[in-house]
Amino acid sequence: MLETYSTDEELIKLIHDDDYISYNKLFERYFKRLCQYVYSILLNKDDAEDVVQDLFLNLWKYRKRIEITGNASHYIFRMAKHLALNSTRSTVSFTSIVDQLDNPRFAYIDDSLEKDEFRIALYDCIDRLPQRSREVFLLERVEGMKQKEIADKLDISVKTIKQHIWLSLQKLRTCIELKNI
Amino acid sequence: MCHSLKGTEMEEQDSIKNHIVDCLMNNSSVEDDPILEQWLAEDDSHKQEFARYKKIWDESGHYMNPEVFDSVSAWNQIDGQNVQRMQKQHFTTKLLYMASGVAAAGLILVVLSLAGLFDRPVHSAISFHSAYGSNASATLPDGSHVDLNAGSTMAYVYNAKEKIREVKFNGEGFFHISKNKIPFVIKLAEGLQVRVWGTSFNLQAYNNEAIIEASLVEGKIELTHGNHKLMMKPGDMASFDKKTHDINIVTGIPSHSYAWLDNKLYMDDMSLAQVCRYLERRYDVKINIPLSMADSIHYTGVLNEESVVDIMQALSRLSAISYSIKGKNISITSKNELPMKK
Repeated sequence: MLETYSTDEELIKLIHDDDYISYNKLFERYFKRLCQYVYSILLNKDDAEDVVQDLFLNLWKYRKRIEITGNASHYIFRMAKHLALNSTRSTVSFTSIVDQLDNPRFAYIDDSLEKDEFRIALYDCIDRLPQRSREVFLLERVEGMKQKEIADKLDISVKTIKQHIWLSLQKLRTCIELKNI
Repeated sequence: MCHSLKGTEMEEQDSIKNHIVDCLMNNSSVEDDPILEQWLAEDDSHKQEFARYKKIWDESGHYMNPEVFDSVSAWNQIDGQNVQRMQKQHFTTKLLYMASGVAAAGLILVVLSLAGLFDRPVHSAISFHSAYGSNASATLPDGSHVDLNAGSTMAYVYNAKEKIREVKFNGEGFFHISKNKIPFVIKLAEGLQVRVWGTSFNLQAYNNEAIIEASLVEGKIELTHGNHKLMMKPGDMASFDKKTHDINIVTGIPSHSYAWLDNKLYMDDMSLAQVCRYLERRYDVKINIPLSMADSIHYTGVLNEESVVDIMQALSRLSAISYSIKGKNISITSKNELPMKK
C-alpha cells in the first residue's frame, strides 16, 4: 500500500485539528527514539517509557494549546527532556512546561541544547552501524566489558575488536557530520 | 576489516588509529602516549578529529537499544486512556445537559444559552483523514472500527442533543460498528442518513460521485432521506441518487464493493471516467481524459495490479486507449480513430 509521507510539522497541525491517525503516526515515528533519549537521562527503562507515554497523552489532551512554529522534532525532544527532568517532581504540570517552551527567553537559557542534539544524532547513528561493529562497540561502551571479555564472548581477536571500534568511530563521525551537528 | 584509504594516508591512518583506539579503550591520558601527543600537535584538524572521537566515546555510554521499548503496549495504554477521557467528556456533557434541563423550569433563558454551548462538539469531536494514495484505519471512542479508503474524511462526535453517535463522512469506508444503546448515525451529502445497529458494512459516499452506495455484510442498517426509508438486510446492496434522491436496492455482488480492502477493483460495466476517479484517489495522480471518451468506454473485470503503470497497461490492453505519464499527471488519448464501444 502506498503511503504518503507527512512531515512532523504537518502531523502536528493535523493533530491540532483532532486527527487521531496523524497522532498515531507521530507516536509510531517518535516513541522508541524518545524512550531511547529519555533513558539516557533517567537511566531507567520503565521510567523512560512512562515519561514518553505521558508526553503523548498530554500531546492529545492539550492538542489545542500546542502550536509549534519552528522545528517540531526539536520541540518534541525538548518537551521529553523537561518531562523527564520534572518526572521526579510531581508539582510541575504539563501546561507549565508548554508555557515554558513558548517563552523565547527559555530557549536562551537552555544551554545544553547542543549537547542533546549531539546525543540524539549519535544514538541514531549507532543504530545504523554495521551489525558486528555495533555489537563490539556497545559491549565495550554500554556493557563496560574488557577487551578480553569481548574477545572471549564473540570468539574474535583483540586486534579485530580494535578494528571494529575504529570502524565504528569513523562511521559515527561521518554519520554525525552528515546531520550537520 | 579494510578501509578504502590510499597510499601514505592509509599508512598514517593505520598507525595512528591504534593509538587513538588504545587511548580511548584504556581511558588513558593523551600525555601517556608521545606518538598520539605528537600527532595532535601536528595539526588543528587532528585535534578536532580526536575531540570528536572522545565526545562520541563519552556520550555513547548511556545508549539503549530502541527495540527494547515496547511501542505496541504503550500505544494500547495511551489509546485506552484517550478513549476513556473522551467518553468521560461525553458523560459530563450529558450530565450538564440534563442538569440544565432540570434548571430550565426556573431559568429558561440561561438554560437556552447554556444548551447552545453544550451543542458544540469541540471537546469531543475526533476526525480522521486518509490522503489520496493511502488507506487508513481508525478506532472510534466507542470501540467501533473503520477502514478508510484513500481520500476519505470522517468526523465522529457524541451528539448530546440528539443523543446519538454522529459521524459526518465523505469517501469510502468499511465500518464495524459496535453494539451500543446509543444509536449510530452517519450523515451524508444531500441529507441522506444511515442509521446503524451493531453491524459491518461498506459505504461509498465520495463527494465527486453521483451516487452513494451501501453494502451490508451483517446486522442491519437503515437509509433514510426525509420520509423515505429503506431497511437493509445482510447481503443487500442499496444506492442513493444524489440528483433524484431515490433510494433503491440494487443487484450486485456485495463483496466486490469492499474488494478495495484487498486492493482490488471489480468493474461491472464501469465507465472510464469512474475508473479514473478511483485511480486518482488510490494512487494520488491526476488523470486527463477527452470528454468524448469519459463515458463511452466501459470495463468489466477486476483490477488488482500493484502500480498505476501496471493498471494503465492493463486498461490499454482491454480497450483502445493510449496513455502517457508525467510525474503525477496521466493523459489518456484514443489509440485509433474509433474509440471501442462496449
